[in-house]
Amino acid sequence: MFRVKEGKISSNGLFVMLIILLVAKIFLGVPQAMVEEGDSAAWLLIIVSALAAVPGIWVLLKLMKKFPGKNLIQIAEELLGRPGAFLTGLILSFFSLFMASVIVREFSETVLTTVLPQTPISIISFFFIGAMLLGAYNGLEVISRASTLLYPFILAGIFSILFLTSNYINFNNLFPIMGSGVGKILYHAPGRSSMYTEVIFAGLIAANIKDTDVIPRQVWKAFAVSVVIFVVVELFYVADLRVPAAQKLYVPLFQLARLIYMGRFIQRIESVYIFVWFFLGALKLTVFLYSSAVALGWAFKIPIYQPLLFPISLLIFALSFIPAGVYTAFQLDMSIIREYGAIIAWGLPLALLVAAAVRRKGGGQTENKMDK
Amino acid sequence: MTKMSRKPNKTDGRDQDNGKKDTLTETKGFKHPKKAYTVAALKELRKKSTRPSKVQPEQVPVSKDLGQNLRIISDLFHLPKNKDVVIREFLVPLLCPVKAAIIYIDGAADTKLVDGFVLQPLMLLSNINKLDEGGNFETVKNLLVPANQVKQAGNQQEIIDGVVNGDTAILLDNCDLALIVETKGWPGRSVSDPKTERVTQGPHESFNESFRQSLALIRKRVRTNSLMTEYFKVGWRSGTDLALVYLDGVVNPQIVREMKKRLKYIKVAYVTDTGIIQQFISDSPYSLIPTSLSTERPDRVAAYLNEGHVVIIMDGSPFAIIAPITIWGLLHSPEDYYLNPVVGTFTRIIRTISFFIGVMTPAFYIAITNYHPEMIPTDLLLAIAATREVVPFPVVVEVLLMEFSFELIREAGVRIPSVLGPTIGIVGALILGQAAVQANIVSPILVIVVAITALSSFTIPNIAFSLSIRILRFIFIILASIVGFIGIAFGLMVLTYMVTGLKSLGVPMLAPVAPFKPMSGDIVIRRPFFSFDSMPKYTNPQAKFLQAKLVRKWDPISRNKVKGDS
Repeated sequence: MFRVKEGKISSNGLFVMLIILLVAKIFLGVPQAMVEEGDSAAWLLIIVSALAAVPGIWVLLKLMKKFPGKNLIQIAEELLGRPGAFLTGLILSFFSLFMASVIVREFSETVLTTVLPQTPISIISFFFIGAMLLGAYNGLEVISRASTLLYPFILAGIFSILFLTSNYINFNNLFPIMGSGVGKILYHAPGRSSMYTEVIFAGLIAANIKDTDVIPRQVWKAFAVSVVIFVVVELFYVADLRVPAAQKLYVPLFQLARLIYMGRFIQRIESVYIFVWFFLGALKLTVFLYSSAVALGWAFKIPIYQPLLFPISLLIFALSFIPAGVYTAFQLDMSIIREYGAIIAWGLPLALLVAAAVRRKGGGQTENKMDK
Repeated sequence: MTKMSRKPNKTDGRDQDNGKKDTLTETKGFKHPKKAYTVAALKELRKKSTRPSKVQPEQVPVSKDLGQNLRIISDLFHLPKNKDVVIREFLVPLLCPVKAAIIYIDGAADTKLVDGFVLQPLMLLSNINKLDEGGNFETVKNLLVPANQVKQAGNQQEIIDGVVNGDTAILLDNCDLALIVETKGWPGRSVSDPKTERVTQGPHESFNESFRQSLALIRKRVRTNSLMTEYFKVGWRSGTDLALVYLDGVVNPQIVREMKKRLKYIKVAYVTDTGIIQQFISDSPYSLIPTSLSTERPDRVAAYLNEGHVVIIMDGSPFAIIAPITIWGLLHSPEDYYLNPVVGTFTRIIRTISFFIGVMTPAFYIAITNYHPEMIPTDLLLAIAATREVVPFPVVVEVLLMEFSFELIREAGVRIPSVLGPTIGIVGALILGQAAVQANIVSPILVIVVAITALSSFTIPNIAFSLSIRILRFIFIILASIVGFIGIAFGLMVLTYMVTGLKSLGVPMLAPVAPFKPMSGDIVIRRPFFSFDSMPKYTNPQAKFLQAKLVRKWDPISRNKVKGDS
C-alpha cells in the first residue's frame, strides 16, 4: 500500500503542535479583530466562536474514529477512490500553502514595522522561509520535538507580557459586559470559528500518531487550552487598553509588550519578545509547509515529500508578496481565511463523513484491526 | 597526430637522470607516450605491472621443519633489514634434545618475561628426566612455559599476529604447531590524574593509553560477572584493540547489536585515538554537537554502564567513548553527583546558563547596540555610546577582532611549550585587555563581553562540546549583525531543529525532554541520589531499577512517602 514516508509521533506531540498552530495567531491581528467585532465582549465572541467550532471538530474526530490510523486523504481514497484522494490532497495542500504565504507576509510585516523598519521585507521573509524549510525537511518527529521543547518558553513569553502589563489593568474597560450586543456576537461567531481551522492538521497526520485512541482527547485538550489562552489574552488586552485603543492597534500583543514599565530598568523590552514571535511563526510555518508537501505527496503518490519542499517554499515566498501592503495582508487573513476557512476545515471532513454514511464504510475498531 | 610526431622540445628531467630519455616526452606540460600502444599491448603491460599474487601468511601452515619456518618468518618480517624483530635459536634439553627458536619484538615484548618465563625454563629446567608428556610440543606447553596465557598457532599469520602484539612465539623442530606466549611489555605511563575532567570532590584516577589498565579501572568499579568486554581489532595495519564494554542484563541488547555492527564496518588502515572511532560510529558525523561522550574518568564510565549504556575502550587512547548519550550528559560533571543535590543543581544551572552566554553574548551585544538600542536603559546606553565614540570600527568588526584574538590566545595556549606558558597570560591581558582599549581599537565594555563569553565556554565539562560553542558563537555573531534579534532567533530555531533531529545510537539527543519521557530528575535539576530508583527510560534498558524502593528505611519521611506511593 502506498505511503508517504513520514515519522511517527506521540499524541503528546500532536497536542503541542496543535497548541502552537492555534495560539500563533494571537501575535497577529486576532485580538484586535475580536475587539472590532465584539467591543468589550471580545472574550465572549471568542468563547461563542469556539462553541461554533465544536461541531466542526466533532465531525473531524468522528471521521477519524471511524477510520482509525488513517489520514484524511487515505479516508477519501477509501470512500471516493483515487479522484477523491487526489482532490482532498490538493485542497489540503493549497489550503496550507495559502495560509503559510499569508502568515509569512504578516509576520514579516509586523517585524518590519515594529523593530526593523529599515530592513527589506524579503530579507526578513527569507529567515522565516529558511527556518521552515529546514524544519520541514527534518520531518514530523523533529517538528514535534522542537515544538515540545519550545512551547513552554512560548507560553511563558505570552503570560509574561500579560503579567508585566498588569499594572495597566482597569476592569471598567471590560464593561459593558455584552459589548457590541448579543446579536452581533452571534452573527460573527460562526465565521470566526475559522480561528480553529488548524485543527484539521490532526486529520492530515492521523496516520503518523502512535496511540490513535487518545487523539480525540488530545485534540479537545489543545482546543480548550487555546481557547483559554485567547480569552485570557483578550481580557488583558481590553482591560489594559480600553476598547477604542484596542480596536486600532494592529499588532496587539507587541503593543502590550511596548507598555511594559516595571521600574526604570525593566522597560522597552518588547524586542525580547521577537524570540517568542519568531519561534511561534517559524514553527507554525514549518507545520504548514510540511502539511502542504505531504498532502501533495499523497495526492500525487510521491513517497518522499522532501523534494517538494523547496518549490513549495519558493511559491510561499512569491505568493507572500502579492498583497499590496500590510493592511491587505491582514485583511486577507482576517476577512478571508478566518471567515471562510471554516468551509474547508469543517466542510471537507463533513463531506467525507457523509460519504462514509452513504457508502456505509468505516467502523472504528473493525477498521483498526484490519489496518493492523 | 602532428603534435605526437613533433620532435620533443624538452625532455623530462627525471628521465634524463635515469637515462630513459625516450620513454616520455613533454610538450607544454603535457606528457605523451612516444610509443603508440594497442589495447592488447596495454592489457599485457597491465598484467605485467600487477604484483604477482603473494601467498597469504594465513594460508601457510606451520611446517615441521624449524629451518623452513624460520626462513618464512624471516621473509615475512623482512629480516635482517628489520632490526627489532629477534629470532633466538636454542636447544631444549629434553630426553631427546630438540631444536627450538623464539621470535619476539624487542620493545614490544617484556625481555624480563621472555628471559624468566620462556627461555629459562626451556633451556634450564627441561633437562629434568621425568619431563615427558606425550610429545615435545605437549611437554613444552604443559610443563615448561609457566606463563599465564599461552595459545597455539597453526599458521604463519597467527605467529605474526602474536609477535606484533608483543607476545613471544616458540617454534620447535618436528612440530607443526607454534606456541604464542603472552609477554606484552609495551611502554606506557601509570594511572594519573584526569587532564580535562578535573573535580574537586571525587576520584582522581583516569584512564591511560594502556588497554588492560583502562579495563582494569572499570572492573575495579564494577565488580560483577555481568560486565562484558568484547574485543575487536580495528585497522588492518595498526591492528588496534578495541573493547566493547557493557553490563549484560542491564543494557538494551539492541544498543549492543547496533554498536557491534558499527564497529565491524570500520575498515581502515589505522586508528590512533577514540576520536577517530567516534567519527566512524557517529549518527551525524558533521554535527557540531558530539553524539557520543568522550571521557577519561573511570567513575563516569562505571555510572553510565550501570545506567544501561555501552562503552568503548581503545588501546593507545586515554579516552573512553560512551553511547548513547543525551545533550544533558554533555553539560554534566561527575562532581554533580558527589556534592549535595542543591549544590549539584546550582552548578548545573550555572553551566546551562553559561552555554547560552558562551554562544550568544557577543551576538546580543551586536544586536542590542546596532538594532535594538531602545532596550538599554538610558544611562547604560550613554555609557556605551561614550566608550564607542572613539572606536573607529563598526561593532561587528570590533567583536570579530576581539573574538578572533581571543581564539588565537586560546589556540596558542594549547600549543605553546609549557616553559613559555606565562607569556600567553602577559600577551593576552596586556595587549588584548589594556593596550587595545587604550589604542581606541575596542571599547572597554566589549572586553568585558569577550571575557564573560570566554569564561562561560570554559565551564562546559565536555571538550568537544566546548569547542563547538566557539564555532556557534561566530555563526550567531554574523546572524546578529545581519538582522539583530531576528537573526539570533533564526539561529536558535535552526539549532533547535538540528539538535532535536540528532540521535545517538538511535536515541534522540534531547530525550527525555523532547520526545517527552518520564524523567529521573537528572537533567538540569539534580535530585538526591537516593531518589534515582528507576533507570533512565530513553535507552529502554533491560534492568528497570537502580535501587530498592525504600533506601532510607530509618527515615520516617521516606517511609511514609513510599507507603503513600504504594
